[in-house]
Amino acid sequence: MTTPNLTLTMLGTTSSGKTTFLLGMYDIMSAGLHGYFTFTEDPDQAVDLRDAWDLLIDEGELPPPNVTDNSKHYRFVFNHGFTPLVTIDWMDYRGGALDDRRDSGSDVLELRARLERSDSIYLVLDGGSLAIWLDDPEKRTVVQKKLKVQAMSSQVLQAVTNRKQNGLPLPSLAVLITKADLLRGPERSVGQALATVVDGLPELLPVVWADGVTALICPVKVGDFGANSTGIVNVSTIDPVGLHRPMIFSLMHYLSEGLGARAALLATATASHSEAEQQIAALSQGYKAYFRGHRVAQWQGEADSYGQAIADEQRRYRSDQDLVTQLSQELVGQPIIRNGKLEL
Amino acid sequence: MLGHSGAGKTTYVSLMYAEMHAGVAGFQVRAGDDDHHRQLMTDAKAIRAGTYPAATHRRARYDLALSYHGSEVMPFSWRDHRGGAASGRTSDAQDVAELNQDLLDSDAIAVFVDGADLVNDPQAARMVGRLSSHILRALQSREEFPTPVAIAVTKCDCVDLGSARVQEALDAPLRDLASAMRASSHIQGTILRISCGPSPMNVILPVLWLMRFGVIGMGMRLAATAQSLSEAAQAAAKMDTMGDRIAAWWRGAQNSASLAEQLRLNAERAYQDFLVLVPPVEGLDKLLTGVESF
Repeated sequence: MTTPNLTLTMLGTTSSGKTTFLLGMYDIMSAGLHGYFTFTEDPDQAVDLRDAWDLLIDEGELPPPNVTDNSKHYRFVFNHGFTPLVTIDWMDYRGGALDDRRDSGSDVLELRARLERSDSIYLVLDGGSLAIWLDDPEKRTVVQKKLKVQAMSSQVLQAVTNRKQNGLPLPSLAVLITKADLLRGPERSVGQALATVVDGLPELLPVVWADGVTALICPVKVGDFGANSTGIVNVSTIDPVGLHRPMIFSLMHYLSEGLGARAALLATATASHSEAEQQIAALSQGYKAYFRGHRVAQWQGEADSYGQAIADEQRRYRSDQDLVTQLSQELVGQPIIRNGKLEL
Repeated sequence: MLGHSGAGKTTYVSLMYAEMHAGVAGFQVRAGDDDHHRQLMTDAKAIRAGTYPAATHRRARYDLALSYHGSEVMPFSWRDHRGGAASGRTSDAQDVAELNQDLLDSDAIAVFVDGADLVNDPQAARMVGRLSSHILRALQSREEFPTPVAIAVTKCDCVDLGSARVQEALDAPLRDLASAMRASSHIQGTILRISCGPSPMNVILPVLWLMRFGVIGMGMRLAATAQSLSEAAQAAAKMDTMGDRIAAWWRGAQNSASLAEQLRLNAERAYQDFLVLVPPVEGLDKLLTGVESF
């Protein structure tokens, strides 16, 4: 059986922590976590990711802001043990692609096209910037501008609308709040800050409340680096939290969506099987049945093949269902917004 | 062999060769190339005296053969890679691509992990965890062919195996990978604690464990060949008629009776070859009693 491919797009402003998140996520998932493993199809990409992570872990060196501000493309394999579950086509878009004019860069148009074919979209919000808004709600507009959330939301909403119109399944959205340690403030724990952010999301990122959309709100951090962390951080403050959850969520949603399609296939195969059985029953009645042996055999062949298809589809359905249940365990307690309603 | 620099891969191959060449319960390993034999024996002698071989700078390939009571059982090729190849880029050195290709092509993989480092260096677990990707990348598409993976935790003479902290330090980085192997139907795994210093411990176990699966795999292939040849012989025998013999004589071709006999002989030969493997497998089973496979 071929491994399905999941298209994943990560959006966020420059210095929002996208790359650091990716490095940490890869380090955790490549060594294996609760039976799940991720690795790059290209071994050299794994070396690049690990070398950059080692620089942070060993020397405290954060990945430098991308000078050329290029988008980056990766291909990951996501396994449960030795069983590949999906290959992930991962695109980390340069911050500038979000609000550039159509003619300012080829990747601006490419981004729009890619969003429309994405199964999962990560919207990366810098926790440090959100903290400014939490400290002073009057600064919401400034923060919105800084995080480019309006551009993010409208582009993703456009993609969601287009997919809806074309009858395609909607992408899952993961709102990554990076540098989550910075959400903490005077008389405000990270949890309280997160609750306020979730409450403010309808205004900040309306797309996550759109009808049919499932969105995970996921605070992540690589360490407690403080507000003014620049190139070098204290390695003793490295303390990754939640880095694996967005990927788990993407896969869980992808498989859940697939369950619907599997159920539809199953219903079609069951209906066809039932029709074949009815035909056999009809042809087998009366004295003319003696002359219909050939047609009965043809219908029997069809019924058998539908029976096999039903058994195969039921097996795959159960296997995916079990996996969705397993994956959901990793996300217990995480805020998920489904169809505009918050689930915890 | 897969492992980071300093894990003891080159030391292992020399000491393993010397011990296996000396013979273990009827089993013996011999290098096809005399220069390799001399080099491995010289290195092993130095290791026993406390001098370890220099780090491998490029891939070394040793063509060896396993014999049992003097009869060759199975030839095998043992490939020793530079430690840095496991963490390098293909664009940086040719041997990185060679390692990646060898992992894809190998019938068996021996992974070497520095046990002393795991206990003493907090960063070592991270490095060990990274070996998982190599194994997953290499083996994920092998659904039909069972592949043995032996993980050798080296330098165990340098750590206190009686300490719970040490046990946890050695086990934890390999736990997810071991669980994945346990759950897999096409990977056989084992974790063996060894030491290759002047007081060697369990040196022969990784090679014997890998050989056991190699020999069993060879036996399964021979049994399948014998079975299919036997079925083909029976099918040919059914086609044996007077008409077939005359037609074959007229065409100057082999008749079904003769073909059936030839296939039967070939099946018999494959079956006899299969039977030859039974005593070595039984011998290996005895030597590996108590070694956990998963």
